[in-house]
Amino acid sequence: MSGALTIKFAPDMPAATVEIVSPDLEVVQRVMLDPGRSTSVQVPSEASFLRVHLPSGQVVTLKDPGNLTREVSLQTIQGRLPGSQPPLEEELPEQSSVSEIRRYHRGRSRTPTLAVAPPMHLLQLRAYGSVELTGVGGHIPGVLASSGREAQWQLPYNPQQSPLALKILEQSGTRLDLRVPGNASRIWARADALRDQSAVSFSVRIATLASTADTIASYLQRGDLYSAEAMAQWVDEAAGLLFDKMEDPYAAAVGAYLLLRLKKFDQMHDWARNLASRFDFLPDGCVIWAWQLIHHQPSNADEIRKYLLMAVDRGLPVYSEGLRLLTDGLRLMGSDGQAARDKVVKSAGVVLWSSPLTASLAAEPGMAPPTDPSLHDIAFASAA
Amino acid sequence: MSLIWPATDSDIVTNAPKLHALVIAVAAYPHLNGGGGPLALQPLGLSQVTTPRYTGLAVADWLLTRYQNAVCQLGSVEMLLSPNQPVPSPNGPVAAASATMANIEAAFTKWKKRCSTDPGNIAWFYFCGHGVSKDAQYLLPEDYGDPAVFQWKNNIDFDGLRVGMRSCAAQTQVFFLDACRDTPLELLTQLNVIGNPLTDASFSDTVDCSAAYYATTPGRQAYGPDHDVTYFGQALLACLNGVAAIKKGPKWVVDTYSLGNALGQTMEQLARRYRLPLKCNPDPSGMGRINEVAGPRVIAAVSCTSEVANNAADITITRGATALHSPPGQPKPVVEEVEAGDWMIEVTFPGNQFESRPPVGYTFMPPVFEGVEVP
Repeated sequence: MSGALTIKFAPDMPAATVEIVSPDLEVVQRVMLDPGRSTSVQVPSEASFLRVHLPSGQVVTLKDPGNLTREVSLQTIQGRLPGSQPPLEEELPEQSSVSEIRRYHRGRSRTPTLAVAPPMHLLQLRAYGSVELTGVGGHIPGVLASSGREAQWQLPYNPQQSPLALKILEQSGTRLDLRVPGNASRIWARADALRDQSAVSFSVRIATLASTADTIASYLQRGDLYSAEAMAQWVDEAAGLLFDKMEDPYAAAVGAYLLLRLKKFDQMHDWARNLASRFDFLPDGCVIWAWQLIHHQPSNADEIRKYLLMAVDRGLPVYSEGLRLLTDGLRLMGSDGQAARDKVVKSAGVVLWSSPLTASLAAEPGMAPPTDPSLHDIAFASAA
Repeated sequence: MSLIWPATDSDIVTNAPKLHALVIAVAAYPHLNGGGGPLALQPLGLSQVTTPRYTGLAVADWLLTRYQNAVCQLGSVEMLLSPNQPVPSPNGPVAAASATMANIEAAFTKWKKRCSTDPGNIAWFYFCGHGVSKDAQYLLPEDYGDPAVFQWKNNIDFDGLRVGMRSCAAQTQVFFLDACRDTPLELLTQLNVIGNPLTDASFSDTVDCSAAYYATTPGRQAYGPDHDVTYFGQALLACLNGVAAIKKGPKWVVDTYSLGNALGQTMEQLARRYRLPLKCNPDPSGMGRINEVAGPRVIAAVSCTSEVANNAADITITRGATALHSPPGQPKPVVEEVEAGDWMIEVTFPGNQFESRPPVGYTFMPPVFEGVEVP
């Protein structure tokens, strides 16, 4: 029997895309929901079920035939996820697997900072390396946790500040430089010896107060446009907040990157130009506007060049999506763009394209060339 | 010669939307470790590989025998293969040219021209072999590292190639990179790494859909079982055959978005099954329909929640007359490609280490079913 199915996300849920699926496995609709929000969808049968695409990449199927009002909470989700969920204060073993580390990070996302040690500027991650976070005002103190394997920072809400820089100097002699959006509210970075390989895993998680933008960035990171597509609805609905008031230029940039990916240029208006002109600390605004012009006004080559070169002058984009678009745009400039591209390439070093934020590896000057392999896992935090 | 199908250039249909494929598989590198030629000055720690010859042939075979798209049928398959060996085709075995830089350049030029004949065309590019990543993704042809020439002369700049393909009229372009995205330690300190993008484009060139799917995230070795198809190749073919299918109107189709979602999830399950750090990095931009299938398929990944329980569990997965069985001691999770729909899963513990439970019904829906929550 058909009817209207109401789906509600409990306040503890992360923003996510939900598929409503009919019993014959046809996707009736894909919707985006964020915490506390609900929506109604006409379904062909009461046996229709839900599939929640979590920011972590896991997909949870929720069946409740006959019930046309479904509330989805983190607790319900966790009960359905395969594998036991990490307790809130779980400690990782001395040697871990990649999946255990990822699971740990999901648990950490749900817990506040646990460390009580005095704040320090340079945090030593056991013998694996050291880590520091800097902003325009200099070093930002953090604390050690997890028996010295993890550094944590709790940051005040200040989304209109310049990007931060996280630097990990690995014991092997490799340096990891990570651009961190200024709207970050929590950051944690850890080093773990891997059980199955003779390598060290360096993993970083960033949480912002724009959790829906974090979910979008997670989908984009995995190339999961199938799930991300539904989030364009959020960009539309949050347009006033994102692009008119522009309270959080970083969240606005993520929304704009999504629309560029989906080629929904009509939804972008001239927001990106405002993003470029109002926030000169954010190269991403220039990149986004240049690409909007490439799609809409390719004959306006002077303006496109101007914004691409302006982006280069402002430094590396915060998001790796922006770095990719910047280098692609400079390639389209032909020989005119070569000098600028050389500058970007030199500045970026070896790029970790799997990271959602611009991250690069280099050999630390004055140290012997690296000899040991390390793995890097950088992502936005997600509780599920 | 690199045209595998149809028999001659003049047989290629260019006045209607078609899929034109360029498949490059490189398993022999004479200038890398273990090769027969003079060693490269910088072999980058790379040596011979076995998987590309199997993977390249499997992909070509899939295109020739399984690819279905009512509005864009198969137009041509161009293939370069090192070491050189006959490639089966509907016209009998065809000797593919070896995947040297010069041959790749020539085949690429012909392929791009062919793809440009109709905006409705799908341009399909598959590379299997060595790759390295620095500021961009580079792909190594057979003669990479020939010490007689500049080290980077025989090197393909894939990022440049993808951008350059904007000047191709085909409005759906799919690229599959079944190659390492590793950054060898020697590369960290090298400043003059360059590659040949094979083509270029300008601001006025546009493409509706450009989707690239990378075998592994940078910094990791791309994996494959010796003398077999790579894990990425296995995952890709499973996805194209229905694991990435979604229902659009009356048809089950695989498109660039659903493929990105499914390929990532399928590789995760293969990583669990083989306990390897397998990943893939889909990078689709724009929506394009790739393949049509008869029905949806699912990667079923079934295990218990702990290693101890996995070792003791007897798992049976059934649907009608079809049954998959994994007794105690066999590797878990059970990872199998199966038909979508309703299945029963029974988990028992013959040694009574945990409480057995009666069969429970589950709906397996593409791309992946992951369960169960016992004990």
